[in-house]
Amino acid sequence: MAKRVLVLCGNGVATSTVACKKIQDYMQNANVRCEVIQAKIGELASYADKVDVIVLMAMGATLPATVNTPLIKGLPFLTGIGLKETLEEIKKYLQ
Amino acid sequence: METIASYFKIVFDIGPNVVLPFFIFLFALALGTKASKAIRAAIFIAIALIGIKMVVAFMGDNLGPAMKALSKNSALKLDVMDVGWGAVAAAIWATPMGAIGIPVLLIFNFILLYFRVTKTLMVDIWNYHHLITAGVLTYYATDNVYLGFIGMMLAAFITWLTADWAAPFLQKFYGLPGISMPTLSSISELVIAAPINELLDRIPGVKDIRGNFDSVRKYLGLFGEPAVLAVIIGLVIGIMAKYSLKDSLNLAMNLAAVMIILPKVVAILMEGLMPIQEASSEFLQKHLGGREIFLGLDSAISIGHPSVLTAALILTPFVLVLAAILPGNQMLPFADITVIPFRIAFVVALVNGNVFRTLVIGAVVLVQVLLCGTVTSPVLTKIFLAVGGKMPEGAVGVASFSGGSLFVTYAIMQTLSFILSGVIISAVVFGLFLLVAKSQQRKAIQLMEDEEENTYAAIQNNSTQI
Repeated sequence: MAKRVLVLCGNGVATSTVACKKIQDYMQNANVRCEVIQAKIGELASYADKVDVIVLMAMGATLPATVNTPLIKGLPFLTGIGLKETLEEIKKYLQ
Repeated sequence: METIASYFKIVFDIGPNVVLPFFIFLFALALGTKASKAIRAAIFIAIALIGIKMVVAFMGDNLGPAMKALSKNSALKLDVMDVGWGAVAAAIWATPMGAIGIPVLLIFNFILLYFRVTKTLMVDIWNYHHLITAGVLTYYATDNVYLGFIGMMLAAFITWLTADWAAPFLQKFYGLPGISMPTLSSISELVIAAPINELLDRIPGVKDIRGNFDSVRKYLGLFGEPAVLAVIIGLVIGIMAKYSLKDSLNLAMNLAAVMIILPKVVAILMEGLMPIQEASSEFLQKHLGGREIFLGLDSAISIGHPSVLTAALILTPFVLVLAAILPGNQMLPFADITVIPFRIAFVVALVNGNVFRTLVIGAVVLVQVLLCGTVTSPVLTKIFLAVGGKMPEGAVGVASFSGGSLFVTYAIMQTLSFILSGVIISAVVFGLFLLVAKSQQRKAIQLMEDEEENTYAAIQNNSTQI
């Protein structure tokens, strides 16, 4: 089964779309099969243990204590700074 | 003047679903985007505009009759439909002024940055729509194209300068160095929040309340789940409108569908804009090297803080009750209920996470949003109809929590239309804001630094005990 990436932002619409698209393109070019799920920050708890890595576009949220899914800061998707490293890190969790 | 007016008329007649994509295509090419990417972007934008129209029409078909029944069968006169910020943005972009808004604002930002009037480099092309909306609303309110453009520039100017002012404490609170958040929908609240916060600082007793809201999530958690929330609202409206059980349930389900599907369609619009965002961002950053710059990003990155989410959970049922009892309000909140976190995200930073103050200020902000939304609805409705939107029976107008409901936009619209009440209110609020701005900024940072000191001291004490 393909690994899954959860991308969260405030509305599940704008900033997460940017990250989703970039992740999809990057993984496709690297031949890594994955499923990208887009959601609102409030839905974190309901998805947390069903995905393999979480990309957070909004700062300050906390994972429920019982979950140990890796959490990645998504700011580089918006600023462009450190984007390559972030994508590589995500790829690591999906392989 | 004649040629500009006729330009708008000709462009208008082609049809908004073609005009905006065409402009986006040209603009993308001008910025150096590959033709294939530019075409795809343009088509996606057209698709998104059409999709949003479909969903909003469906919403109107369901909510419209319900609103009519509601006014007939209860004392509530809530006949202005909240279609959501996405629908408003789509409608604005479908106007000729909207289509050229992005290039105009980019140039304006570039000029202001070049002359060091602002430090904010607004690469968040997506949120230009709030600024363009202020312009289009002003244009339709005054029937004067020039005033419209002035309104748009004024909104941009105020947004960027306020973003510069808020940057220090936002950066610190959210741990985001080098960034500002020039998102008008989150910045407008600060203009109101700062004076209120100053007032709260001076009331003995009240100024020390922080409040403990840990059990909130347990009791109000389901208000954070949009689909469930929509079903509840639908059922309540159905019951109050004296619908049969069958009709109430169907209304509830249809509204839940709108609540979940609408954001997804708006996301298509975002995807269409992405190449523009990337190309504009590269262009701006390349030509402005050497200046101290704040990267202007979407306020969406600040939504995750627990205080923001907690306060939003409490304010959600509050805004529904408020809508029913607030005199002067006709807006029925629906699609934009989920943006409450955005309206308070910056307030939370100003008060260093104090949920009590966030709630008090948030309540005032929501009153303002409902009233300004109602007052500016006629103009917004004119625009909505002009771009081909359908007015559902039972509704007298459309609104959202953005657009004219944002205080800055309301202020600009009313002032440039020379509406006396608007001018006075704007002058008073902005006056108060400017009075307290410097001190509030300093205090916000001070609050955080004090907390850091205390935490550090506590750790030190604990370690010496070992």
